[in-house]
Amino acid sequence: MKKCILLARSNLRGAKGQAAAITALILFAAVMLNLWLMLSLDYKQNFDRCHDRLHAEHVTLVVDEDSPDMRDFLKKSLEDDTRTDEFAFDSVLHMVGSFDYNNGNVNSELVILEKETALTRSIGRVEILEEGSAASGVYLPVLYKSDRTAVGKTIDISIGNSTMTYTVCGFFNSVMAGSHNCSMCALVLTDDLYAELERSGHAPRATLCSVRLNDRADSESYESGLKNTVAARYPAARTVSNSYALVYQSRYISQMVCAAILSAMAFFILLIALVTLYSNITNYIREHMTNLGALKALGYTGRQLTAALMMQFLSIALLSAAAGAGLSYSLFPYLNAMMIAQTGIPYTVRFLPVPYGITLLLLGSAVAVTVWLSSRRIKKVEPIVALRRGMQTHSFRRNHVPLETAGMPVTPALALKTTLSDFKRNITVCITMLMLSLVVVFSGLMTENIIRDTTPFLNLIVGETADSCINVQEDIEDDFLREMAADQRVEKIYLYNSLEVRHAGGLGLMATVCDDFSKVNNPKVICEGRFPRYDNEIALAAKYARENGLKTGNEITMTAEGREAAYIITGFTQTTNNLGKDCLLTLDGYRRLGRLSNASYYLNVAEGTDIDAFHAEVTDRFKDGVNATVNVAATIGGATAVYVSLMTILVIAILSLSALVITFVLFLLVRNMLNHKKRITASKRPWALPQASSFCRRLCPSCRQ
Amino acid sequence: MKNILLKTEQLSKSFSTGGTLQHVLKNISLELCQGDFTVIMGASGAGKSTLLYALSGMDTPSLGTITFGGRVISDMGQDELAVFRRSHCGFVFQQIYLIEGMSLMDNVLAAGLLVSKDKKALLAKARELFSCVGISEDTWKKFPAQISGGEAQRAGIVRALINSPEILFADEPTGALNSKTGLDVLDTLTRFNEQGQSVVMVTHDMRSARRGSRILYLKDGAILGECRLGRWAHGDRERHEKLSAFLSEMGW
Amino acid sequence: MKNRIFLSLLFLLFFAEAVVLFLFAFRDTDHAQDAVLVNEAVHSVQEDWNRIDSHQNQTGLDYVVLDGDGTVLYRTRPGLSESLNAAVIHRDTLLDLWSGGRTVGKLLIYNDSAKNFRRQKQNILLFLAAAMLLQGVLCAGYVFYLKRTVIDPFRKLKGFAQRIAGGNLDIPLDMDRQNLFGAFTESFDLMRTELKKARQAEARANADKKELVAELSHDIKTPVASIRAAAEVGAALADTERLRDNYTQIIRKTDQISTLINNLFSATLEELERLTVTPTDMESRELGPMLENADYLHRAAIPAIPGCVFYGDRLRLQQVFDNLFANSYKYAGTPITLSAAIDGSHLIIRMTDQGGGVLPEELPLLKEKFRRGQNAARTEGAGLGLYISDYFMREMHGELLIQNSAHGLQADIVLALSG
Repeated sequence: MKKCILLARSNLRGAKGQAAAITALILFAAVMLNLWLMLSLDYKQNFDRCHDRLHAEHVTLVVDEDSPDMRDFLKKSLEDDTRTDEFAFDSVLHMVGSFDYNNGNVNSELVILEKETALTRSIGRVEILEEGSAASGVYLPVLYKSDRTAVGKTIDISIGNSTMTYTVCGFFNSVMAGSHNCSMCALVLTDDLYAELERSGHAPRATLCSVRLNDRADSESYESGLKNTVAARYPAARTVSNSYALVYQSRYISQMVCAAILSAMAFFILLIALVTLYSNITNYIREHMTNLGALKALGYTGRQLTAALMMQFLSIALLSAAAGAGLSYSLFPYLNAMMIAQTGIPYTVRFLPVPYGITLLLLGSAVAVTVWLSSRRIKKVEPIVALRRGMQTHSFRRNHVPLETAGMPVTPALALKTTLSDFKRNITVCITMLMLSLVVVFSGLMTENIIRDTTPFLNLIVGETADSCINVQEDIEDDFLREMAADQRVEKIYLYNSLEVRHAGGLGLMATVCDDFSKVNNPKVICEGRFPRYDNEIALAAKYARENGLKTGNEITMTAEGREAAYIITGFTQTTNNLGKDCLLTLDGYRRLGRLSNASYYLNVAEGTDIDAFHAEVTDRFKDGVNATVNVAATIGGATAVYVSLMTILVIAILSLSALVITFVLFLLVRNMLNHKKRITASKRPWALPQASSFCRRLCPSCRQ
Repeated sequence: MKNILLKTEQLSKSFSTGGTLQHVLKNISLELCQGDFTVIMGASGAGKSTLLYALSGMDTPSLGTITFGGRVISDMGQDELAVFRRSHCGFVFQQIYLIEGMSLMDNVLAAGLLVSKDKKALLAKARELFSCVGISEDTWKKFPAQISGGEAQRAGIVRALINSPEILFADEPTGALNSKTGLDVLDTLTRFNEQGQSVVMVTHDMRSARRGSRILYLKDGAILGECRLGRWAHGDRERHEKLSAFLSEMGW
Repeated sequence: MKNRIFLSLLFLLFFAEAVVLFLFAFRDTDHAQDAVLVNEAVHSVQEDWNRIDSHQNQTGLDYVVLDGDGTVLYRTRPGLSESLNAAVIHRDTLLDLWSGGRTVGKLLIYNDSAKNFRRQKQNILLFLAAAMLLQGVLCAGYVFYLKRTVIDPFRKLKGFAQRIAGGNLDIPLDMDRQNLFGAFTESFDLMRTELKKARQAEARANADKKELVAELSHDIKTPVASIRAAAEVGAALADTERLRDNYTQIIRKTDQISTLINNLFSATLEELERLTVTPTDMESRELGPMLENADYLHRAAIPAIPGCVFYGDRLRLQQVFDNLFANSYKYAGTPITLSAAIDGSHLIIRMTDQGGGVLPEELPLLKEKFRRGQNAARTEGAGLGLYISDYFMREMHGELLIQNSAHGLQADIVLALSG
């Protein structure tokens, strides 16, 4: 053991630079690896921990009716279901609404709770994270906290058709309704404001029904079942709902993306570190052949020499991995802040032994295997051969491109000889460059598609985009359309209304109804087949179709508002919206199921039109006929701003990391090359021959003067 | 009758170069005795070093047997030989081969720790040997790159002797040194030999050869002749002439 | 390597063909009707019902529109089923057309599965044809490769053998070391060069012999002639009968000597001296295979040979072994005992058979030219083998010792150790 330490120390003394570079590379790898492991192992569990802590529900249902009759009905149906564990009802206000967020706006189904109720609910309690001194005002989900939206400032919240201005009293955490991604967004009002809003009638009273299940895996089917039960009994009542599965997935999409990128980076850096280590050791063996021979002569066995190398590099690796994993804790808060901005669920950084252990184990074993693989040659070398070869330029390899038989001119033959004899180093360079160019291409693609021009990304994530969305009542629809057709500013108007239907025997799907699919802005929504054209046609989410074994041409039965109709599948859609549970219907097609009491129209307006002013004008013209106007561009801007900033940070991180890695690898290569050259000039062998044999200097580039 | 330390029978070594076998050593049968200062001479390419390395268990012979201290070492594996060498053989090389990254003391300890776990005793012995070869404490703290060739070679001898080997094998120990420092090294070797250390030295240098008590002349991989001289004494004319006569007979 | 690539390619191709054939045999060839297209056809016809004359087919399907009475209102092309019955027979798709809430007619969508089937068949045939072509090319390539590497060298070898048989030893065998038979043909060429060398040596020896015989005959005849002349003079001058008889005896003997001289050199074996022996250092482990090679009847067990390096000529040593084994087979025909040992600076290979040996007085003569033992009468031979072997061994600084042992003849092949 002592002798191994002696050897390792002597080796290190001779190669401080290399050791430092490998230390740094492993350090980076450890940082990345530990971050990734923490994100992927603990971060998602945090959701469950939070869910349990707040005793949150698995299925949430809001019904726009707050009558004892309704509650009795709900109570009975919930009690009848064996999957139900416990449930609770609360009175809330429910309306579509929006508020500013991140240069854009959040547009969601707002579920407004009274503060006391919210804090004392038996299921799905709300947790206040930050509170100001104001006695009267609004509490927002912590996700929406920003410089502009902070405690003590005011916020404009449009609820239905009216806009309310509230003071921000604080921020809260709600597991199931804390983000616009979970199909409903909770707001908490102090009792005075709640009473005022209730009185004003801008938002109708509703029943908030929270259910905890015996097995949370049932949440999705339970949700759609419950909704159907309610819809069958109260076809006119507006409902909104979500489930554990939906929230869990939607709140952690960005966390998963981030973890994937981190893991890719971690393994990429680890690979480079290992390749570098490998070439370093083979190089070490080449350089120190005589030393190894002398040590073998003294009686060191191959195993002992390998053990010394192993100890040397393993201790470097473990120390720097430990340091790197430690360092990752100082970086984790930043990542955490970024992630909280995405998930809206607070997470406290604490020491996680499992990821730490895995990081050490993974790096340690990877380094051990690499050292073992690269130092196998030590065992094979005989001491006498090592001593003899050490004196000469020990070429273990065969004679590449023998000049005697090479059927080519001397110059290319010599070049080829040099290239082939340095094959290992060339492979190192190749692998490194390949990986790096991959990273650069990846970053380039991300920059191009997400940061610089968000359209492709939006098409993928959001599906259909337009400039404006106006929801009007059925009775003014004709007037509205006539008016719009006449308006110069409107370039295109089409019905694009989302509502829920249910696949008979399957789950509830979000149906998008359009009067003419040839008008939509993003025809790429369909990934196979075509848009529906006739009233008995439907396009279905590809994911859902795959899961249910449906193909184009198949006929499926949909139900809504108590009626049923069969549709032929004409194509598949692919958007990440609604987590792959949506379908497209023509207006005529939907009419076979039910009636649109209000309709959302998407509008493309002429360049330079002030959308908000246009909305105000329309609202003014039709008064109550207009239910809601949404500045789609602004909403999307708000949602994507977060993604864009996340991606920007990632790209910057990846690029700077790549630059660092390139620097290290190049440093090592140049160092090795210089050492190599030194040795060559010292022994004067490879080039002495061509020169001595009056080899034309012109042919021998290193001799040119 | 002296105690036979090492015995070879029909020792042969061949290398294959480009498909043809080259026989570097042919049917060498010899015996080395305790306390001998054996010098192997011969023209370059005669197989001197090959013989030395075969005798010392650095290299395995192609044919024949080597018995070293009662153990047959000619059919041992690489690792087995390495373990054997630790305590039975000491090596001094022409290029010295001190490990660059270690101080002289560490170089010696790197060899010593292979056999002994007792670091204290080892250090004491190393100090004694260093003072024996005339290397002061200041010097043995230095690194090989900081000292002269003669000092390095003497340190090499200390390293070779730290484990009290039965035979010290020296491959042209003065080959890379100038005559003054070369003499120092030879004196050191002679002194240790006088203390009973068996030495086998390869040289093609008459001045070094003179130190031996037994000269073997190698030609084309076979022992052409052998000459026994008495103990080395400075300025022994008769001894010198006997050696010269032997060498000229051998065609030196 | 090439072979393996080729074979795996071929195998892959066969596999692909098998899969295609399998699919062809078992796949459901009846294509499902494209429901979406059909739906589109129905709806477009229904939309155009009131102006069916101006209806345009947009679907790519072939169909016929009938009214309630079975009258053809529209057809995409002639040649389709134009009545319900014809449609049923052809397994066409029949659909009701609705307009204003009641059925107004029928849409007969032409069953084109026959066409599809034909297309599929064509595709498979095309694929198979291409695969076969590829296989053909591959096979042809392989045949070409075989021809180049195996058949051509053999053919060359045939011509070579004919030439050698015809006595033409000058043309070397054109060899390609890269190919399969390179090493094989090389030994043939080696045979040729050795034969040629032997032939040349023989010719030279013959020429030399003639010269020498002429010279020596002349040289010896002259003194013999002088002796004869002197004897004749002596006989003529002899005064006693006894003396004359003696002279006559001398004359007779000189005549005999002349005859002998004349005969002697006709049998010289000068060419023996031309059999060069070029010994080098050899390892004793090479002896095993050589002995095994010589002992083609496997009458001896190859002994453990002590490791050493000795001085020998691989080719000549093999000849010695061959000869000794052949002799033993010929004269003794018993199992042979082999042993090897190092004795001082020599390696001795001892061969002992159980054939009873030879008469003690014949022993010293065995190694001489034209000498054959008593028991050799029934077998053929020139009596040269041991002579040549002994010559070889001496050239290798060794010896061939032959003596009688307890049960038979014992030959010691004494090889000099190197060094």
